[in-house]
Amino acid sequence: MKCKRDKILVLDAMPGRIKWTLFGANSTDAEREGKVEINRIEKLRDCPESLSAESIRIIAIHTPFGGQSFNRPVVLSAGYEREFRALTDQAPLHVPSALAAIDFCRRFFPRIQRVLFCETAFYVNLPERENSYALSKAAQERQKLRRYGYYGLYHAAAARKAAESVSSIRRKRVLSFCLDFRAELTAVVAGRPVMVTGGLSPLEGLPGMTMCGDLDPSIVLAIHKKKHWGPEKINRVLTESSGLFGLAGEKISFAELLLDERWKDSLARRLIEYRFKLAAGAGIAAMGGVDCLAFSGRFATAAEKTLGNVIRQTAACLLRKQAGEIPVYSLTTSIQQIVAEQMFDF
Amino acid sequence: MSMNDNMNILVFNCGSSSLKYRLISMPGECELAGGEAQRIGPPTLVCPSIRHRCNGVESVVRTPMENHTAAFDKIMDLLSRHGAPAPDILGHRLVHGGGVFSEAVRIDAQSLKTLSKIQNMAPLHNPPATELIKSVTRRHPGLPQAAVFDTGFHSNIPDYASAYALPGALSDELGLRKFGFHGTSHRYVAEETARFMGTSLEKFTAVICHLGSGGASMCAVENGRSVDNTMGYSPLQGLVMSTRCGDLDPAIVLRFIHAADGAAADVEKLLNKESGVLGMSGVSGDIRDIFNSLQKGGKGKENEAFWHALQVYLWRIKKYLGAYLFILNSPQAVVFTDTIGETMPGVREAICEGMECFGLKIDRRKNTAATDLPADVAQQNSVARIVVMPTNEELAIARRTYEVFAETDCCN
Repeated sequence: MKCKRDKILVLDAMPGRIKWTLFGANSTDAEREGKVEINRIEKLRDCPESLSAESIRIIAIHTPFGGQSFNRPVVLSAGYEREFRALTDQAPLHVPSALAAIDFCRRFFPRIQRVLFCETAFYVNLPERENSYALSKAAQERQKLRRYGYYGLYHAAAARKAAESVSSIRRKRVLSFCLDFRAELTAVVAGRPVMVTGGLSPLEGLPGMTMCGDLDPSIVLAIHKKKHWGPEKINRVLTESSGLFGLAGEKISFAELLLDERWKDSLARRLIEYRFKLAAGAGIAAMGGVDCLAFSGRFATAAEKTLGNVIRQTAACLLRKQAGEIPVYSLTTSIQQIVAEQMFDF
Repeated sequence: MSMNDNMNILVFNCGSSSLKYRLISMPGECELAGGEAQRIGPPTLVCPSIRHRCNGVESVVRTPMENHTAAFDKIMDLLSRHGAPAPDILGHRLVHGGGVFSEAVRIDAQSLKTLSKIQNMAPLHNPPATELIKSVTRRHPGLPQAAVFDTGFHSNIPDYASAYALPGALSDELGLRKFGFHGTSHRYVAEETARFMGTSLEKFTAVICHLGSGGASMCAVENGRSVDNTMGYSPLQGLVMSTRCGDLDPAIVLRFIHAADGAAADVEKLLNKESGVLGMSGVSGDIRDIFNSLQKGGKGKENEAFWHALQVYLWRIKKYLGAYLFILNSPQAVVFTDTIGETMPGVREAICEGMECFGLKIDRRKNTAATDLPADVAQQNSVARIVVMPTNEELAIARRTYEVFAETDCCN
């Protein structure tokens, strides 16, 4: 029997590996999923039959960084691939993985449309006063130094759905929190971001499970001078040994930090709650108010139950509203499901 | 000596090539003389000079001063020649207390030893003041001195506000925590604003915006104590400043180190001296120049760069204001101080614009007319007052110095 060609394949391009998820026709229920190392990407061909070219309608390649070129999902053409390839220097950890996935698909699924989804796309048109650093214009332009966010797909989806729940307000202001491997806040007005805690890289902003978040720039210089560590080693420590791991001394997730009694009075918990409050206040100032809160990411539910309550109560008191006037929406779908849903229209 | 005894305190505020001074009679807080020695150190194109004032008379004395000790000698001579009383005590401003000194301290052998140890905590700021203290100790052993630290007011910032999310061992080894700066000014402004509003310092909660023509920082004050400051481990973190970048993605610093082939000094210079308002405008580090130029109108690339610099500068302050209003949850006041905060109503208005959601409402007319300071420029129905309060770091240092000596002598 001939197989119907209606499935959606989502490839998450991470440094060193690809996670694949297969969805049924116009469905956000994952049928199968798996991981493969980048240097063994051809093993994707050995995956179950349902991963064959005959069953797949369309492929999404999901990657963190798209620079200023990619401000929405795009059907990949030779031109777009060239533009994407040109971003390698700006994101040497992420772009090569996505290129490996694109190359693989071109070779083994040549007749299947490929759509590129970049997390940074949502932030390409972030206002200049928000996306800029206080550096010389020449340095910023030469090295393409500007702020992005790195959970744009989560924030866009969560903010859209949260805004639908506040039908009475036209120009809705959503404070969107994403808790996944990292944490990020975006202030969204009428569907567009006006402020984000992320930076040029995912290092800036709220601390993550192993990422440091905001730091005095002098600290990087102090570590370099006093420990005689080069940029690569410092980057590894700030990316892999900091954040909750650095504070707690062991690897813990946001869910454990927020829900486990063991961490209730820990410095890690108090610091994260504090940083979230600072970010919330900054986001409200950026929007001139707030109409609803949105949570997304793997730990959306844990965040909503704990941080969400604190922030909603504080915001209500500060803005002289009732807590009930600031609805909270939680998006519990995975990033792969968010991408798959957007693929229905392609 | 008791708290009511008169003391003439000579306050020194060391810059890298300058020495500000003020002779203040305490506890009456009356200025007897003051001035500034400029261009201390190696010869420059313009002759070194001391701008001096005493008994209402101002004068300029041109004289070489090869170091701060030489400047000190000239100042003491000037004070004597102009009939000012001899100082009873010297009070010195030091930027960094090194995590060791949280309060003002009387200079003795032990404290001097510790000051020498912590010199490198603020290599751009502490050394000239420390060297001056040492020199005075050697040459005028009978002249009591005190050190007052910019970091002092922030020494009780809670751990969740002062910690960075770094490996604990690394933070402990290198002392990586937020110290906060401008503390002497923030404390003084908190005291004065509480007094102005008729409340005690212990019940005073406010956001203080110390916006200088050089450095700038904001302080969250809760019940009279600092609970956060926008500056951090160093004065580089936080707001956009005259030549400092403020907040920056750590990845960008790493990129710069890589591009400079590891020459950290070059990167430090770039971020501290060539960024901020100067970096963005390409012309001036003084936001007043930018603001005034834009008000005059005109088009072209220079004005685009000026507009951009102003917007980034204001936006950073606004976001921090929102952040601190949120964590303080209904403070009594937002206070503007120092050169820009006190003299630029346009900056105050732009920062407060759109903050009505927090109940903060600036009165434009009062704000523009606020020249007789302190002034409350908030609308009557504003939830928090908006106060323009002049700072006076030298007086603040004199107060702390007076307390130190009145306290220690009471206990002897």
